[in-house]
Amino acid sequence: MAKGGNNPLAQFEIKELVPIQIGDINIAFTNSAAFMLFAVFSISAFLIFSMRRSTLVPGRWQSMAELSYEFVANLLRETVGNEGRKYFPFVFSLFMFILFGNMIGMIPYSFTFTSHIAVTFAMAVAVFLGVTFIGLAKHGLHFFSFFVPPGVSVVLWPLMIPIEIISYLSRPVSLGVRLFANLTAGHTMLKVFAGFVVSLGVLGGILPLAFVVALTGLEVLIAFLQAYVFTILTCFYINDAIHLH
Amino acid sequence: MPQLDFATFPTQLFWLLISFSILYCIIWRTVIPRISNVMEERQSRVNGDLERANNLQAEAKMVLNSYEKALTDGRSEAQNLLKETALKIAKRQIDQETALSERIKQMSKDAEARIKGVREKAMADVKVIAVELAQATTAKLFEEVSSEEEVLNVVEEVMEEKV
Amino acid sequence: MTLTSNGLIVVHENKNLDQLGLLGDKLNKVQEEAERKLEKAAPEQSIRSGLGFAMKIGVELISALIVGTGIGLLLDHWLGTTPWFMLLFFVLGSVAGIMNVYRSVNGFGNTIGFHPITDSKDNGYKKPLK
Repeated sequence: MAKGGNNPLAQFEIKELVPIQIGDINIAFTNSAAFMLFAVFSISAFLIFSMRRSTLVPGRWQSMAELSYEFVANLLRETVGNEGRKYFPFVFSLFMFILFGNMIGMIPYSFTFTSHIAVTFAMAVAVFLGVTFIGLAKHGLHFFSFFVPPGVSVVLWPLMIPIEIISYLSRPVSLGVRLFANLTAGHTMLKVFAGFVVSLGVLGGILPLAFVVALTGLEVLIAFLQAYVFTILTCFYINDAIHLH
Repeated sequence: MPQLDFATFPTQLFWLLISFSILYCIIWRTVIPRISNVMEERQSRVNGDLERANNLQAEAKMVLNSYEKALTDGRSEAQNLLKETALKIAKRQIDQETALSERIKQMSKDAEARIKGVREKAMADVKVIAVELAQATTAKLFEEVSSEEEVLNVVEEVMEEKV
Repeated sequence: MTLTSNGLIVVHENKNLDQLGLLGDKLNKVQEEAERKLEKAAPEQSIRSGLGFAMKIGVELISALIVGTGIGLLLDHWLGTTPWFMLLFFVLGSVAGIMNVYRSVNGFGNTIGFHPITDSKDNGYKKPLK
């Protein structure tokens, strides 16, 4: 979906638009940064303008904004309960950011910042650290009882505890990798089939074209699904940290 | 794979931090209060409406019940009145009937008495006439005047036989 | 006369009763709906596509393997025991990965600890959502 070139990975390339350097660190304003800010702008525009003339009986835009709000609120309420209310702004922001990042990436010639492992992994690690911090703050050292599987004899503890720790540490990895892998795979596949359409011409390309259309539909679904999965896992982790079972 | 180009990581992380912070602040400060206000207002409005509808329904039920009660009360009252009146009428009828029959009885009794008197008087008259007639007849026939007592005895004998 | 007026009243009464009953039904419906909405689970069932579920399992397995092997490599690097910790933690990592998969398949969510959660508040665990 990127401009020119047959390499399906070209669409993921990061291009510097405005070079900025602080010390040794390159923090240039790139296409990725531009699309992140664009996503922020779109979300804010959507949520603020749709609620601008808020009425008791919502119009189309307003009910869409309310729907997204309700969706995340229900997710959080059902997984965490009322104690999760504090974390709602974060979870809602996270959901909207990933959803818009994924959806904007569906537009041809655009850039999908959620297909970069640096971004997805950073978000996953942020969630992981935040949740661990919540758990420690709430339960103190008792938090580490989390790693002792109940109903397992003491003899097996030296084996089970490392496994549980690995399992716990694998959370941010799976969280970040899942989002990254899904979007990268989907976009690469789309690009490959779009390339077939172009190279085979209009006549020979009909079949690949139909496939691309179907794939695009699937990709839209995945874009939503992955935002949802990331959000609900975050909710699960918050619930674990709060309730420790 | 451009995603594994570590040189781009600092800029991505930096701009991720910036943009997500902006988004978080906007959502936290502006969006959530606005949406939750509207939704709470709507919820309370809906709840209020529901409550009002419930109250109205209860009220309507109450009114209907009292109306029905009044109706049944009125009906039973009318029924009672009807019954009472019928009873009264029947009683009066019976009273009047008895009074009438009494009067009729009285009148017939009087009439009988009068008839009896008249008959007795007629009988006496008949006796006197018969005696006189018999005396006159015997006198003409036998040229002998029978005593009054004799004749009377005969007349009474005959009359008793006849009557 | 009383009879006819009575008849008229009876007809009226029935109409009113019908309307009242309708209102009552409507109210009940609205209230039930509101309650159901509160209880209803937000995640839509149709969203759980098999593809997403398969993807999740693979990612689950691989990430535990990556973390385990990484820890092993770090320990080897510090202690100079080159292949051994890596091998040990590779095995532990695969066990952890299999456990992650087992849990997500069984619907215990993505949590550590074997037991299904009985607390009603934690309903979210019961369903494999991906």
